[in-house]
Amino acid sequence: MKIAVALNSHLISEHAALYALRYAQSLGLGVELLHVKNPDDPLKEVQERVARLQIEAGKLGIILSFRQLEGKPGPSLVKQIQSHFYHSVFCSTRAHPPRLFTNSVSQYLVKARLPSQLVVVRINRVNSVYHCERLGIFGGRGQPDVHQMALGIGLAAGYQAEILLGNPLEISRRALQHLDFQQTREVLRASDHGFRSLITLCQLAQVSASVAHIPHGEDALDFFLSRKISLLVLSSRKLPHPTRHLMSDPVENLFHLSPVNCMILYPKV
Amino acid sequence: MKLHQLTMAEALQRLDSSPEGLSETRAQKRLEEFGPNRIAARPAKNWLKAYLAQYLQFFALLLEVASGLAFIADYYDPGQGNNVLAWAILGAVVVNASFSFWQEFKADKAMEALMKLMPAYNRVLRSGREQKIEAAKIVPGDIVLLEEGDRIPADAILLEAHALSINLSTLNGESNPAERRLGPDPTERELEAHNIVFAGTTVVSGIGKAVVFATGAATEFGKIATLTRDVQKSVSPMQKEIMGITRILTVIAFAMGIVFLVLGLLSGKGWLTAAIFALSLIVANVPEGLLPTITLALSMASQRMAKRNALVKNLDAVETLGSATVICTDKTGTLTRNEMTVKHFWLPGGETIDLSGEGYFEGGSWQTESPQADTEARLQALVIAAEMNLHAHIAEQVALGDPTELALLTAVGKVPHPALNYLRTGEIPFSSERKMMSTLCQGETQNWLFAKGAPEVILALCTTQLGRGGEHIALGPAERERVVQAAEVFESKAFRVLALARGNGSEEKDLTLLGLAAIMDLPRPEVADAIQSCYQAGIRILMITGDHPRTAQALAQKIGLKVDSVITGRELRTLPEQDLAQKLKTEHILFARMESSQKLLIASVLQRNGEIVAMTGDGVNDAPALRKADIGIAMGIAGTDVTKEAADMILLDDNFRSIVAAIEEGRTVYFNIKKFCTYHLTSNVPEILPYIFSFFFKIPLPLSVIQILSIDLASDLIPGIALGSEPPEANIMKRPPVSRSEKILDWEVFKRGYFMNGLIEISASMFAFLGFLFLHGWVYGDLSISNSHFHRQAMTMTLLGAVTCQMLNALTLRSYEFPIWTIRFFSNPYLIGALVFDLVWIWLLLNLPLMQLIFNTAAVPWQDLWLLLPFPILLLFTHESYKLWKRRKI
Repeated sequence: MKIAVALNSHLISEHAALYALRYAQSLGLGVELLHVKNPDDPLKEVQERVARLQIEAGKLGIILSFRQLEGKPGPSLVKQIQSHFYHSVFCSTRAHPPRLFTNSVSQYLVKARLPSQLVVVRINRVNSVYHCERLGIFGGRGQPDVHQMALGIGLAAGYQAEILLGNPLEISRRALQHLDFQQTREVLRASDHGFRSLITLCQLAQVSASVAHIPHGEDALDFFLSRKISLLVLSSRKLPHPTRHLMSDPVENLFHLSPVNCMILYPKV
Repeated sequence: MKLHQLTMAEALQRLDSSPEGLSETRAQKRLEEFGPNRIAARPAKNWLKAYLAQYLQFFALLLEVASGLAFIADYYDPGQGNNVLAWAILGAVVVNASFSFWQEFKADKAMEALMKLMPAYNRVLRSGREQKIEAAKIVPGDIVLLEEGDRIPADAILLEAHALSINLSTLNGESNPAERRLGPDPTERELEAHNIVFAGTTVVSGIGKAVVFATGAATEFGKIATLTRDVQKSVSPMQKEIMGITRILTVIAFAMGIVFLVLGLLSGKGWLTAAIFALSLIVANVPEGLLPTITLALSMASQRMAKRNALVKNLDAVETLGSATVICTDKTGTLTRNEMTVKHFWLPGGETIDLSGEGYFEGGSWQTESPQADTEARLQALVIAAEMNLHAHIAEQVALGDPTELALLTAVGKVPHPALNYLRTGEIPFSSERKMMSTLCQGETQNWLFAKGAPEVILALCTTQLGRGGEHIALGPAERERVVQAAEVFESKAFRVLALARGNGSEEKDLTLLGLAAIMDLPRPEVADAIQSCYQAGIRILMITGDHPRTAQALAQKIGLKVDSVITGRELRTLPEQDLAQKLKTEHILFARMESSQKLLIASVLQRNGEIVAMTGDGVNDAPALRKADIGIAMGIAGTDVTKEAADMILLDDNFRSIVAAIEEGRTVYFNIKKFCTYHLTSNVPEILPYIFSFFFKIPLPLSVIQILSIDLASDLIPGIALGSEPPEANIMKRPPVSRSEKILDWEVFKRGYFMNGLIEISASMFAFLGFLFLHGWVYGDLSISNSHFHRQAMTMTLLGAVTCQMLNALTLRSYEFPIWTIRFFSNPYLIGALVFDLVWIWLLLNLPLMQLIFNTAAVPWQDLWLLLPFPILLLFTHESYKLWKRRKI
């Protein structure tokens, strides 16, 4: 089984592939780079990217293959993914507000029914792709789901990074301040209920993890930023039509606003 | 490995760039991938929505309902003028809404004008060619070219650096320039890496070339901007109280309306009549002019503050300023001029040279108490050495370079000396390890080395000193001790001391000591008075600085700042919060060697102690503390965009005195709002009671609803607004801060408004009404005159009774405390204009047919106007006597 990466001549797609390489390393999988021939996409630059990725893959001990496809980018990729069983598919996006995706290929992939989970990567800081000490996992209003945890743990293992799980509380900071130590402990314990299992999962994978409590009404992004994460791993329901204005969904909101690198995981359909 | 730990070649490879930079095509692609190099602005406000939202405000809804009822009444009983009433009420709503919207719009636009984007243009290398491009178009992989004075547009790793140093104060508060060097840096923290330059910082000296690795919100600067964007601010006391006032008046209005509706129905009146009567009471109780008057008072106060260099970003901050109990202020640039000045030179002959003039642009001269024959010659040798050792330059009110060098350059200009004919041939640059720098110069006959640096370092390299008669005297132990002592004397007075020396040749050895320079960042001249004003006003001042405690204490002593204890940043880290809270309850603490992040802690602890905190800041790291404080104050000149965005107020001149001016205006506006609340409430009494009288007694209706509206929206509104612009009273800064628990609408306001002046006004109105009726033969109980011309004349008298009383009420309410004759009559020209307006308004009501039609008035015989005289005078006399009694009681 392999991990597929949609590759074009853009630097950010190379960086999405670098994340895929790290993920593949921890899973012991290979990586297949998929490129659809396109007159707007100079093949020479794509090949340069492939060469650079070969070097990185060599350092990580991963088998890297390259497959060139013909046709329209979106449908060709979908057809390839649907006909081959990939563990995951990585693609990059230029996502700048107010649109979710400004790369039509990633938008197409999100809308398509794929038999593999899709990871859309947004690159903000070039340097963070090579080095990650801490990554954040945030499940929005609920807990992170199992697919998100798997992705996060895999990446953290690849980078030897620690994980910070975002736990949104029902109680506001002002209310918390009025509680004494015992009461605070009880409140946090009750809210950490599901997160303890997630921490155990991380520990079993030999990845260091902790929980960040986000009081009600406060910005999750502030919390993650102030704890100096390099990568934020999010999970979103499969969107049949990616919306233009995403401020209502906290996960997609974070994806837009985050100044650090970010990925949204779309579980397979 | 992190980027700054890589070699330059590895870094370029990682960034997929080259020493010639990106090609245009690649750069364009990167721009699409990473977006423009700017921090995302807030989404534009929907102004239409904001305007329509004004119509959903509580008072507006109340009046809309009242208007609706009037339309319904007109439908069922046309011809009674209810449609005119309905339109008049709607007109009032539109006036209110438009007014409030205009204030909000103006305030927002004023702020937009302040906000500047990151530098407009930068030089970059693309395909090997130098170009000037917009900073917003810079992308990761671009090679930016840096030189002195440039603002750095993005986070970048250095490829070349020549004597490069940058000012990192926007990121970490450090005012001393940070030296930048090439080569991998093993440090883990990017902010500490010597081979990285950061967006939002400036190049102080030198030149360099760097490859960009982060732009826009992904930079360190951008990350902090994102962090401070959405911190919630608490609701201001004014907002809470206005909401409270709204609730009280609404409850009163509706309660009275319902009560009289029921009474009306029970007394046999038709539902329409009873409904209109209830409606009248509701309208009478709702002070339609209150909200726009408050908004305008705050807005005019903010305009006055802007003239005094304090730009307020939101109107609530105006009111909060009046309650400020603690000011946490920076030192450099706020209390001081942020212009280093050489105040003294010391020559090895023992002379201390005093220099006049302050800052970089003020000229001056030198003098000494004990001049020797060759003092001037030796002083000239010293300044020549200083001049040959400088990179800074000053031209046409622009000073570029290291602050210390700028100080020396200014001092050089104060000592006339022969024109130099030296050619600078080389430099041994400054470093924080060496603590000195030297320049190599070729003179006419020989080569020179001129050095400056820390006294102990320079002294160690000197073997001689330039003594009297121009002799090179050997520096023995005694001579060295004298130099050291001279330096220590200056340091104890918080001067920064530099030693200057020269030598022959090109090596830093066997130098001749020329003298010492004592440099200081002088306090602003007006700061001492401003501080005393604060103490008299019951406000504590806490200095928070990154500087040395001794320097800060010396300054505090100079400017009269009280210091009970000193806490350094290191001590604060280990100090338990309870202990800090206890100390902050009463002590005047000086916080030295502080990090910006510690300001947030101080603000939080002070607020938990119940203080209203005003906090200043200029660097990006100050932004969270400014959001937390009750009043965040950003520096307009030295402050970053992020700090200005986070602040409630911006000091246009970075001057502490402007904070005090703003507090004075804040207090003034609070008391002015109190005054016009009293003024408005006073007229409620002659609006409400006539209705109640007409219900219980057999008298015609003394005052119609439309006439009530004419009082609330015309004759009361303008003087009320003018009262809100009353200048500060003499003792405004001698009173304690306005307590948070103190209400605008307190017992004193009710007492003066409703029970004292209000009762006099109702007496005036009823006296005028009934007096007119009786004088013209009316018999008690005769209701047949209702809606006749005679009735309208009588109602006009009621109206005039209220308006004339209100005119004198406005004059006596100019001060809550001081007699009217102690206030300069023309000190509030708006009020004079408003009173003239009232007189014109009265004339129009009496004489203009259109006004008579709309407002249901009629001309009255001038002989009857005497009925209006006694009670206004009584009101004036009563209120002034009350003020006198209160003063004596205190």
